[in-house]
Amino acid sequence: MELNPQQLVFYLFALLTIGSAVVVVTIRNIVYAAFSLMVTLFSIAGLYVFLQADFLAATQVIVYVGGILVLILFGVMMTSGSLDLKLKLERGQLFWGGVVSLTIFGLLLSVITNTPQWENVDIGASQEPTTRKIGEMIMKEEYLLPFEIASILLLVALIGAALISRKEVRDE
Amino acid sequence: MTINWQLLMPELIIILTFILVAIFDLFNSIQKTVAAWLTIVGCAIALYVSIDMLQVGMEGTEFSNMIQVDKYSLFFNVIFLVSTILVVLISMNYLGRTDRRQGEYYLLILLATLGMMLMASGNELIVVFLGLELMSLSLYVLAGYFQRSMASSEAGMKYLLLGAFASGFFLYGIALIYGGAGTTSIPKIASAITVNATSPLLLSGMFLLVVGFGFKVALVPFHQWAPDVYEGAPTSIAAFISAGPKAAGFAAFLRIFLEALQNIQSEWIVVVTILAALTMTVGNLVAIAQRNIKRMLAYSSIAHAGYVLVGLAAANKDGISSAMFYLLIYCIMNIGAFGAVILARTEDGESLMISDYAGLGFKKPLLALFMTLMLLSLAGFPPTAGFVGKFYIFRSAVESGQIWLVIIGAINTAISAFYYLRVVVAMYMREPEEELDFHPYPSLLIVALTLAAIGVVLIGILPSYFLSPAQISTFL
Amino acid sequence: MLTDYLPILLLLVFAIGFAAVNLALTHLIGPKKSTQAKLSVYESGVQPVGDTRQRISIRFGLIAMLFIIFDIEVVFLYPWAIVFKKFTENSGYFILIEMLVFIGILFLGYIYAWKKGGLSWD
Repeated sequence: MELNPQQLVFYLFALLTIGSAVVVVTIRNIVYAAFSLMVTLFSIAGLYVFLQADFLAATQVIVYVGGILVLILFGVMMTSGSLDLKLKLERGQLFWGGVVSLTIFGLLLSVITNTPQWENVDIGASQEPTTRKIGEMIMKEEYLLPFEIASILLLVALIGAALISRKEVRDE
Repeated sequence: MTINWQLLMPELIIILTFILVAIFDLFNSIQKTVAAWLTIVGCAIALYVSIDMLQVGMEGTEFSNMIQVDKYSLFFNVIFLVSTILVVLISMNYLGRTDRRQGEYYLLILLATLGMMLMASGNELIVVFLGLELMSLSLYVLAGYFQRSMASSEAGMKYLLLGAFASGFFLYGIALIYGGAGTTSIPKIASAITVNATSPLLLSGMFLLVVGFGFKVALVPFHQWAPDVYEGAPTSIAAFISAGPKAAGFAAFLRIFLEALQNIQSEWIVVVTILAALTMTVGNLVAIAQRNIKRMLAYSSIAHAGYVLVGLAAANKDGISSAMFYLLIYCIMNIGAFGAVILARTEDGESLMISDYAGLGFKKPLLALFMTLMLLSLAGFPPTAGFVGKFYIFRSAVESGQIWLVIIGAINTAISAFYYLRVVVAMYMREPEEELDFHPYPSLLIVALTLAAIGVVLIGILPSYFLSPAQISTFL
Repeated sequence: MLTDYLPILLLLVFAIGFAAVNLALTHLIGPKKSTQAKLSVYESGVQPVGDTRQRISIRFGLIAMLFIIFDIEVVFLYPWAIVFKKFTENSGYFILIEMLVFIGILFLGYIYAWKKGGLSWD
């Protein structure tokens, strides 16, 4: 099979995504797992580029690689002694986790193979950036309401985080 | 751009109440109970407006079809607001005057209520999802509200992990349905499905939605989180989680499956029927083995989700209206039952073992009376509301030919009577094993329980007065 | 369109390559004479104090949460800024109100976390 450069880069990113994800779930050291997750999240941003979702790719890098991962590392450091913690899976958990994962994989595989026709899109063709389109949709057209609800959702996260990280004080 | 704000009045009142409570909470550090009163007043006004809109029959879509305000969503607004008011009433004495963090508690309850209202009126899977997340996020924090209690923290953690998992399934389902139908708008999906009915994308999306909803409303086999969360969470929050959010989950479940996915009904009705039978049976059988009353009520609420699911399996107009009617009754009686558990507080904390209730019938007659009434209603004895609720649910299922499901439901009702009555028997016919020092009755809790009791009896005696609004409110 | 990303890809390759080559080279050709001082933790010339592997305060978590929340807010600002000019020409300043509501709600949360002492380090 001949691969053109685009396909080569795509498969590289796909391989990187799967490989680093496997490392995340199999490695014993929790810090290595966290950094391996960074590679996964980053290569998913690469895959978004191939889907012509440029805004999403940038968001993925800014929010997930830049933000969520910092939170995960903080989470690791907040748990005492966890840097040396060796992660271990019980055999029973492994079994049921495997059953659930394989079921979902089978479901998705059957979707991919049974869908009558997939549209082919030339990813090399020039296309206008999606950011403007997204801006128009959330500001004018239908997605104004979800946009505003999203801010309330962030507000809940803020209040909840402030509540949980604060000491429970009761004045008797 | 003009927006018809009148349609969104209940939601706006809740947001306004939220802002008022937040401002008040920030600038007043002494009178913490005022936050609760503001919440109750706000919810009561929203309730009044919702009932008024329901009577006038105000309907319409807003934000380019994102929100569908109709009698269906307004009826559910009534359910949510009634539950929220009752929960706030039972919370006030439970938290106590000294709790400095009460402000956040009521703010999160308000935002969870807003999320539920969005779920019932969402006309778009994305709005439904955002409503679901708004509700769930608030509940995760509330379940872990007692930070000093390991059980409460564990409940919050478990709820968060499994809830996030469920949200993942739900979102994946939405994505696959979008792939199959090309839209996330509920009416547009309905019209898109007729063309390519057998698309595997739609079918697998439908399955994932069932899993997501199954987690959120605690259907067997996705129910494992419920007993642990109910047991560990503050009892007032256990009452809240078991009532409104379950009704909200079903509101979206019914609307998505009977409107958007009605054309692949033959595919999902089998799944829903099996889940309903399984949920009723497992919920009731496991409830028998419970010694902790909060765990027993958790399994009982799982079983009740099974009864409501029978209404969905009936898949007709009566099925929807009886499910709505049942959810209203269920919310009132379940909050009542949890309220009675709070009422049975001792100096050492809560008495949660069923054996602690022995002999209460004579020592604490009022408590025993409330508890008995709620348990009889949960068991479905006439003339309580629980009886008429079950009656209409099963009738709708008979109409659509689900005879086997009704037989399973009837057997389950008989099983459930066993463990509900066991508590009643313990209260009136057993001698207490040890002397427990019970708290005096808190006045607001008595008010809440009296309201719930009036509701349960009134609906039981005059069912048509409450059923007919549900019957004219279906979307089919 | 995909060729627009070529510089990013090149940068990525160079960054990873530079780090990898340097590490490999020092490993291969650098002399290895370990002494006590060389093996100790490098703290910019200061004597290391204690172990690095200790538990950090949960308050860092709140800071990280705040960071992510405002990160997401900024992500929403980009598409808003791009269409801002076009919208104000067509339909006035409604677009400004939309964003002010969005930011206002988050600002309320920020004040809330602040006033409630979520940011103080006692």
